[in-house]
Amino acid sequence: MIENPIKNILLVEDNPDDVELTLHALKRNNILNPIIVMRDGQEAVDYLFRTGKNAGAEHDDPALILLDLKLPKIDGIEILRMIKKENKLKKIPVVVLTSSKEERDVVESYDLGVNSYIRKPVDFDQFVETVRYIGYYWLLLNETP
Amino acid sequence: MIQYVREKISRKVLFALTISMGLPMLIVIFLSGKNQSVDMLAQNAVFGDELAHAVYSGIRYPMSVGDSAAVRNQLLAMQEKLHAVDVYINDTDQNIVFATSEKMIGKTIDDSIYDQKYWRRLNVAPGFLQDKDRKVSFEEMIFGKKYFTTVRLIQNETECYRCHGSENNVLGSMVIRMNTDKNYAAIRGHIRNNALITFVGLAVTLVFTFFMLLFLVTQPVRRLSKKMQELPEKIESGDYIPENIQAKGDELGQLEKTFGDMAFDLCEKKKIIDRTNDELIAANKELEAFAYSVSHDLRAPLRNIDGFSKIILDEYSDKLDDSGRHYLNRVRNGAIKMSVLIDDMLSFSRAGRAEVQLRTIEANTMVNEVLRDFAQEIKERDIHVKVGELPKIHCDTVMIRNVFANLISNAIKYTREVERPEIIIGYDKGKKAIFVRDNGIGFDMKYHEKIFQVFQRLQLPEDYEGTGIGMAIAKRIVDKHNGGLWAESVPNEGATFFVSLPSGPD
Repeated sequence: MIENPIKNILLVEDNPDDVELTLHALKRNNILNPIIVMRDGQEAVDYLFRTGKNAGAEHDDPALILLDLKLPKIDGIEILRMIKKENKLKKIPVVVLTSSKEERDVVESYDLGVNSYIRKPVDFDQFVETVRYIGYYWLLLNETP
Repeated sequence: MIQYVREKISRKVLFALTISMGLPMLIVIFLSGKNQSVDMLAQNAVFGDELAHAVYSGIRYPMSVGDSAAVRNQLLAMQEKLHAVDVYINDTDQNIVFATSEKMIGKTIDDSIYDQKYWRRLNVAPGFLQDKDRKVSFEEMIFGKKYFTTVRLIQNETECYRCHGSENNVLGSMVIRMNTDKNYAAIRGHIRNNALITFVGLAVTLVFTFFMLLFLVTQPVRRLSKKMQELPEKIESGDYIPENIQAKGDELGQLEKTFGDMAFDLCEKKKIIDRTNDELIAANKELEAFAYSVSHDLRAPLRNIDGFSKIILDEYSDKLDDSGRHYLNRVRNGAIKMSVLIDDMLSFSRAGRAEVQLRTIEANTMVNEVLRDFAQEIKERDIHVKVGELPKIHCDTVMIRNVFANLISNAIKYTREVERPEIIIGYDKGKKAIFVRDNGIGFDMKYHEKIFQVFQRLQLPEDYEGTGIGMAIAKRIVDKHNGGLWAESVPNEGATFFVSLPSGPD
């Protein structure tokens, strides 16, 4: 973190309104990391694995991945599985940020090695608070190798 | 032995057959043997008579001329012709005068009659001497051999006058003794042969019957019982192919047909049940997918409504007047309330779908845990809580804990306006139910059913918060336990909620 203090945050979210609200919440919490937004599963996978239209692209891995579960093309659970299987990527903290709190989604995410599972609250004040905790914990408190 | 016979139908039938055939046959053989003995003796008696006549006609002429040597030779000559027959002619003093055996001549007949009983009768009976046809026949044992002996008196006849004078008196006696051992041996041989033939016949009959039983009874029964044993598995796995069994007339055939029909019916019912089950599973999956979709998709727009309203309120507040801000806040409240309703609906739907996992727990432990969750409010409002002795309960502890949490939170909520709030938790032995009683606002019993319906409320939301889902979920949970949940109340005096759960294994 010392060599490259401001790393990207990857936000995988298909709903433009949710994207906007999340960006807003991040901004309110003064999280200044650049936010890369991927709108479907395939895009996110191509970005992370440098495949498809991102083949050969040179960019740093994100400091944090905020992952929705219900996504077009490749769903969040599948992306999580791919990330946690790949040696180069599995150390990146992945926070599932979703509307669902179905038991099986929670269990499956943790089975696959998710770092946090958070259900987006409807109340925007609470959401801002949640995003603040995520940023504080995963970007400041938590040490990554 | 009895156990052995009882084990199989064929053994039972064979046993019955052996008894019912063998016993009468044995009796018949025994009786026929007896009859043969009687017949043989009667024949011997006749033979004895004939022999007596033959002997007499043989010696008549030598006697009439007084040639005793000829008489003697005549008798001795008979010995060669008649084996196993002895003839003695005795005088009145019972001395043997003539005999078929030379060594007997001169001896006393007394000595050679072993069964003295008969002999005495001959001598002593007073009417005997006057009797014309006096004779006696009897069987006797001599040195382990059986003999049939006939003794007759000899009357003075014309032929005898030459030596004995013409007086009408008894001159002596004639004894004819026949060895009957051979006859008896023949009868025994007869019985033996009969018994052997009977035994062989019976054995053949039994073997034949055994195979008949095997083919006609045992095998069909075994086939049937094997079929029956395989049936549940076959029906379960769906392998059962209904056979078109024709009733074969006899009871076993009818039984087989009945079973076949039954199996066919079961199969059909199983198919219907399987189909219904598949439909239910599909419906349930659909419902789950629906619930998932509701949870995920309906909440997203609500989040947006609330989020963007909040952003307007925070960042464009100077462009709005008080009314504008007020209405935006109501929009936000609406969105949040709807999200609560969605969550409640999902909880209710989950409560219906969840599997009940039964465990036994002390109800006191569970209630105390729940009370700890409300400890702060109880302390702040100085609610008087009394918990009596509760039984062990057999239930899904997570679900029933939820029920008690609901009842206790309601009791706390609806005693809010009471000066000295009181909650009593106890066990009603008569109703076999745990109750939670409060002295809160209570309700009119005519609304009793409404309490347990989804989103039905008896109070205004401004007065008492809540969506009206808690009791519906509680009712659903208790129903899933096959238990009962009901309430008794008097408005403004309080309410008592009863939970009864079926008793678990002791």
